[in-house]
Amino acid sequence: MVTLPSNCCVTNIDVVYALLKEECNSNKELELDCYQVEQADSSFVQILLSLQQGDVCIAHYNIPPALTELYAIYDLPITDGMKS
Amino acid sequence: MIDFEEFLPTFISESLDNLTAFEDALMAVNSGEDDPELINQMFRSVHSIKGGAGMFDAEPVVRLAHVAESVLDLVRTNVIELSENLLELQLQTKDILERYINELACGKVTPLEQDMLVRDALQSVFDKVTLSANEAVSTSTQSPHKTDLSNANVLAFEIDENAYLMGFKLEPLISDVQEQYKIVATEINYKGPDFNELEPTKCYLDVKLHVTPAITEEYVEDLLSFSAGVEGRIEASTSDQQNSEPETVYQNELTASSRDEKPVAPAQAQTSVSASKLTNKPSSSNAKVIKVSSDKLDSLVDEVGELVTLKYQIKELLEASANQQLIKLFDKSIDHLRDTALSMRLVPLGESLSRFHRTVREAAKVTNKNIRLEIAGGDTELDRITVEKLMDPLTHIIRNSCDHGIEAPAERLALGKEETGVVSITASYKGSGVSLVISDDGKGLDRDRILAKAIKNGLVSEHETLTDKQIYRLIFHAGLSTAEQVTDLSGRGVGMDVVRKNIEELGGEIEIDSALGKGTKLTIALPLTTAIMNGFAVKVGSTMLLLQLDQITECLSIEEFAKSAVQKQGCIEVRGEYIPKLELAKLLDIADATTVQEAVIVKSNQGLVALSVDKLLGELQAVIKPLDPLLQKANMLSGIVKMASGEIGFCLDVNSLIVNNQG
Repeated sequence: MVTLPSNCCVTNIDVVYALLKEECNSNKELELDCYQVEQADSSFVQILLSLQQGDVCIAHYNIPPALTELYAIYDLPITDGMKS
Repeated sequence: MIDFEEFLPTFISESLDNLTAFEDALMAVNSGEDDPELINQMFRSVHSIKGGAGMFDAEPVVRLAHVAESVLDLVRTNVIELSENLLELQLQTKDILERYINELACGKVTPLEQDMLVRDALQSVFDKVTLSANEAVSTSTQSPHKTDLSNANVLAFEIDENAYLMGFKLEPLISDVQEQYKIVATEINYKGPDFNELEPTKCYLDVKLHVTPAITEEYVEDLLSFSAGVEGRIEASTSDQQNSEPETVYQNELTASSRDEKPVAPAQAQTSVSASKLTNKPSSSNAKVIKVSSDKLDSLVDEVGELVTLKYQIKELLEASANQQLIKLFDKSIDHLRDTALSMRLVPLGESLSRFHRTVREAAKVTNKNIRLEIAGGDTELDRITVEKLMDPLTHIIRNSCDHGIEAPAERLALGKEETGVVSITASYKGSGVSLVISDDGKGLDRDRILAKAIKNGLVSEHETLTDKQIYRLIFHAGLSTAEQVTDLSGRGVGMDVVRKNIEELGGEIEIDSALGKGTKLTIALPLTTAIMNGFAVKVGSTMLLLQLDQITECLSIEEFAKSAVQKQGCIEVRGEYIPKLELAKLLDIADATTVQEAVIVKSNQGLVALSVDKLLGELQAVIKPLDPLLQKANMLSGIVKMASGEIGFCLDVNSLIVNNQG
């Protein structure tokens, strides 16, 4: 499981990407612990979308308001604990 | 990341323009114009300010603009009317926002107490309406909302791959749209590479928002005005997309210069236009308007002025080469450069004159009169600095017209006049300058009362015979006010004196005419620019003095001067006409003047005057620099010029010279 950092905005997206890439290379089922996420933006959303292009499964846990709001804006069908 | 501070001057400048447009629209509504576009204009203006202010963390601006915008939205959707109270609140909003924007230019916005009062008042208007609307909805038996994409139209964002690096953020745009419209669906298209190939700081998203009601071009233009790296396009609703022609492409001005416009494939059948169509500004590729700081322009004009003064010396050098063609070309190029540089500082008067709608409105309110302001010739252009300095004297004149000129409604009706008085400002080009006529259809000046007051104050003697115009001109003397009541607006007798002084400092002249019972007309003649003077140089001793060329009617050589000199009463005789003579050496206390003299005859407010000088040097053009503060009390001088040779010349203010001589 990857614990996402508090900043998942474009200013820190390189770090987020590196974490996900590392995890993704070792595991096709990606589990994201979002508990610490305080900020996120469309650059994070596009990483999730790029993951969904392939055959990676993503599970989100502990989705905080920052992400709930973001997912609502982008109408993303991702809910807490759901694997897409 | 993008440095937003870089855009602050643009934001300040555009916000001030927006506030002017806001007030103009408000005043047009106030004067009875029934055009929904006026409310839309106000809404767009305040909305743009709100959007931009957020980028610079100007919270007080965002808060006030937001509530003002919310109320205007109720007006533009015909939920409420723009009442007198609301109009007043919006005017106050404009004033506060203007102050905040000016503060922001200096770095920090400090919330005002008045802001809170205005905001609360606007909020209560908004709450009152929306609460009652919500109550109505809750008691109705409407069916639950169902998403209906067929009634939505689509706002598509095309985002540059490098948009994030330009500071682009998608979420604030979506939030903004959400505030104004209902987003019924969001389409996100990821068009980037697979996860492993992804460059996370690049943007690979296409976003489409399905919104109701129909989104407007103006809204999208405003929405994107401060977002770098994104284009917006309105597309037709889903149901009729196939039959309709997709509409306009919006491109942010900030990115326009850094990106190539994408060609639109004919198969797409899209009408793609640049940002210029939407902003009424030319596109970057054929830009006709760019913003330049006024400091840079002033500096350019100064430099060109220096070049103009050097022109004569360079011409002399060229003349030695005897290449007439080259001399002609050089002369023409310098003149063209001068004219172009000066024209860059010219601004249309209309933009500044429109502020007087509010002056008149407020004056009418204070005096309980009905007054309409009419402005003609607003596209007449004048030097920016002249326009700025003209505003104070014009405010005095217009307030005077409203306060003392225009009669009360009942009085006007009794006189057979329209109940509403008219104050008009007409600008036009006249000769090489600009003429401004400010007139009213009020009671006119009372010749006898002015004369009586002037005699009482010792301005004229009882036995003096004055023409009507000379008597009217007396109102420009300090301390002469015939107003029976001193009001907040005018009547202290200092205004018109200051007006004359200000106009003369601008190198202009002011004339007055009036007809009792019919109205008063003030005519202001101003030079197109005060930066470069077409002058005539003379010498008195070792001092070089400059006179305005258009004030000079004639020059007299030593022989002509000797012939025409009349020993008695300080006059000279020119073709049978006696002209008062002033000795500049004496008046200016120049010790090294010679006794051999020539003369120059100049026009003044008091007729022709002959100025005796040591030597006539001839015509020249020079850049006028302000006087050193130590010299500013010497009101006979209006500025200094530095010649190419390094010599300093003093610009003479002939009218002040004459007044000083009389005093």
